[in-house]
Amino acid sequence: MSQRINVAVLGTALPLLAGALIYVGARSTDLLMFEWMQWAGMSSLALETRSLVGPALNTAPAWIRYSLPDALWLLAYLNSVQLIWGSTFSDAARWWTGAGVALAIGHEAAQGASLIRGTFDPNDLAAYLGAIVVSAAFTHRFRPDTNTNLP
Amino acid sequence: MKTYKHATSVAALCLAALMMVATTAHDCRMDTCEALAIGTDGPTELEIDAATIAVLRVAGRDTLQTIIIEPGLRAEVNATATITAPSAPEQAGNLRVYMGDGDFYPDAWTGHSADTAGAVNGLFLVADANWSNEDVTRERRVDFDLYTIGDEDAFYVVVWTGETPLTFSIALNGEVSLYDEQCDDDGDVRGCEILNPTADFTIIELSTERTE
Repeated sequence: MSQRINVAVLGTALPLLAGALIYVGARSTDLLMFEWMQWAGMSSLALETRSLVGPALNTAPAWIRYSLPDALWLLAYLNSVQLIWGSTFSDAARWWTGAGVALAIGHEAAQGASLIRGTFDPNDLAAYLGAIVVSAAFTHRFRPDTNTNLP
Repeated sequence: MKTYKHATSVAALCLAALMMVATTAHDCRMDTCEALAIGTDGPTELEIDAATIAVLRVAGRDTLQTIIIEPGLRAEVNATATITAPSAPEQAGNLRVYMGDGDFYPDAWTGHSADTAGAVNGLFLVADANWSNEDVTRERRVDFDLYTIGDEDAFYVVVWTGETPLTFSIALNGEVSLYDEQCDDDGDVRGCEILNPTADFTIIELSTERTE
């Protein structure tokens, strides 16, 4: 069970939180998420967060602000699939893993083709690739325990 | 069990898609959004909802809209902001004033005297007043100077009222000076030749009233 907790905390919750912090702290407030946060009464939280982590993030390289969150979120998704299915080697797990990767890369490709709003960045694709590699390593590291939890 | 797992996987994928949507830009940027574009060419009064940031776009030079800074030039803004509350707020709260570029990017404006410790990305905290109903001064006056290099930058004032209903007005005046960027690269333009000595701000006043 401790392995599953590791996957849940280190592999899923932590990347999600880190990606969210980068976005809230260092990205343009033109993003829809800020409008949603305002609607949810979280503007104060957003501003405080920007005040707290923004100065540090603004001195960080651009890829940390613009590409790393994408990688973190794909990593969180891939690890959540592992968490749900217990193994990435079942057909269903493979299907859901592929769906997430397809969504991420397709989203970026659609931006490149101007089909949706957003900016295509090859660094984002590289970040996705990195997330897949890290997730595979994560799966390898925590596989034995998760396999014992198969139904 | 498998149905439950598939349902959870669908939820995870939907969450991922939702995050992708949430992190795309909204069409209404600060400089085009009708509700936020306040200045001499726009409305001078604005009602802001609870916990809303009111944005006053300040501009120098004769266009009164945008400070155009050609590549190779450096602009320095010296100004005074006076924030006045004609009546006490109904409860204690913050009134914070940030200044800088409207896109929140860090590389556009840099502060000299502004409190960089309270910076919110490209915005610098220049006034953080915990006004209460016992406050009798009703006025905060802040002198500040900021500079930017070689870009087409707008200069904004962001007033954050937090959760406190507050009526206030803000007045700004100051000037923009343009320098040769190469004159001094350490952020200090003292002694540099001023290419455009005084591009004055027009005094702009903004009144906002929070409505619940």
